[in-house]
Amino acid sequence: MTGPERVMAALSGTATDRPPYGLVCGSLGARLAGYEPLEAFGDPELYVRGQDAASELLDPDIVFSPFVLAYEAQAYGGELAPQRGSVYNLKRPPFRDAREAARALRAVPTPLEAAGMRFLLRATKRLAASVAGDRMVAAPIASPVDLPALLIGIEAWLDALLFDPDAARELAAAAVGHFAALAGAYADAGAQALACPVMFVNPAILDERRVRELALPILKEGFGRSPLPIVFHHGGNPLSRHVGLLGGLPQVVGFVLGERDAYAEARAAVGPGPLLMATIPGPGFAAFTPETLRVRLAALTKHRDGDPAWGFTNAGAELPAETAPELLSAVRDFFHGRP
Amino acid sequence: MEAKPNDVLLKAILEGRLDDALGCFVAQAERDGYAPTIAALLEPTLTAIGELWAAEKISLAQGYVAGKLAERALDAALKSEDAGGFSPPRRGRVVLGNVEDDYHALGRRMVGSFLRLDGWEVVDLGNDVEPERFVDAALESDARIIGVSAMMLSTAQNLPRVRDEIEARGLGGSLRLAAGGAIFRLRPELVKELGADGTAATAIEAPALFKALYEEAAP
Repeated sequence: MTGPERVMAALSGTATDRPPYGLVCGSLGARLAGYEPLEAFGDPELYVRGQDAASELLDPDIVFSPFVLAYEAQAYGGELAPQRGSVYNLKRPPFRDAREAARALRAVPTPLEAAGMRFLLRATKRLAASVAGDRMVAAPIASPVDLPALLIGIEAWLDALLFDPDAARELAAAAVGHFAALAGAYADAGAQALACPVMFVNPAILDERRVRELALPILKEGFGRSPLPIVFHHGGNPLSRHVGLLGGLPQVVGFVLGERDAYAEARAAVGPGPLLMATIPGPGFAAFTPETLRVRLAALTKHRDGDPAWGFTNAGAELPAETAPELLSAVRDFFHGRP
Repeated sequence: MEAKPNDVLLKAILEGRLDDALGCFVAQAERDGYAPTIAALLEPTLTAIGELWAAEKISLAQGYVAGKLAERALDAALKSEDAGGFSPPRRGRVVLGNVEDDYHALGRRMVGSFLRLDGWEVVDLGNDVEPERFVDAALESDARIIGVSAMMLSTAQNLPRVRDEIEARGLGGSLRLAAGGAIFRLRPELVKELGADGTAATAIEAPALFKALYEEAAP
């Protein structure tokens, strides 16, 4: 059974030999292949070599194209800052407020040829060629309701959502266009799914009335224009207690839960269909030993309770570059039922 | 029956009606005075917001509205100070900034708003602050507390460099280090591991933390 077949079987509720899994290993993969993470996040070939190196140890069902959402903001003039041993961070968003950003996005086609975006798409294409159908390629992408926070900053986006909903809608409409264009380009490059962290439809971030009236309609419109299935990532906030709000989102085939989420609560809320992925936070991965990691994975899989639509990935940011390689082998051995 | 002003203010904040919230505060302040209104209306309402926020019953956006209200209420109160209407408490100076490589300003700015309302003089160094600059600013401003914000683990890992700088200058007894940001809420054990003296789960709880740290720091 290939990775995509295993994921599709889980999605359809068919029993599989084992649950599908994958981890976000951009920086770690680079280090395993002998490169610095920042080198790999600028060169598709090096990125794919890193993914190959990580996959040799992890043998995942799902591999990820580069997880650098900041490149989407850089494409419009955002300034990036390198982080030691990790991916780029957004230092300065490209625009001051929602109206300025909306005007600018409307004035130009989605800049898929900007350096960072071109890298994302070429790395995805190379990765899809490298895994040759044995593993599912998932492309991380900013959601249309979160891209504005990258374009104008969280504070200015909150200002728009709270105090100027017309400006928020105007920018969101432009963000939907960006999302649709990038999702389409990822599909053309060979991605089979989108991995989408979403913050601004969570009542931990935005009050429930605005989630329902403002943010969810934006997300529905954007997701409806995706040619690819979408896995909705919790975005750093508890999701299980709110996941019922998200029923009926187009193209969403699964949810990535966080460490504080209750699996049974989430399953009860979404029903038997969507894939639910349990997680360990990526940044904390390096603190495990193979033994403590196995104990943690065993505790997570207990909640599965025979549910076929169950998978495993990491939450939060990617695994740190300094993660011990034997931890990847430990994850593989656990899911392959090896001692 | 007419609703109590505290309930009216709380509702306006929770519904994101900042202008109404400010109107409610100013109307009572002009009648009763700014200092009594801050004590009787604004502070208890913000405490209630803080409790709801800490219990994860309200959103970041609602906490953000409370922060905006704190800023604007203080501005209105300070304007009235010229006319002898308000005299803020003076608690001392604190230095705030985002740790080196961190650019997530929202939490730091909200903490600054609540600290100012509580009477602290805030020296805000902005984003991506190097350890030496934190300590230089604390010495220059005679601050007893440095508040460092970091959103992610990757940037929080720069916090020990601030602790090292404090210790290298022999200031461990007189300067306290507060840490804040999403990662410390998710993993509170990091506060001690990375060398900080305390944290607050929400921006509204920062003044209580800073009061406690201020008392600990030898002058």
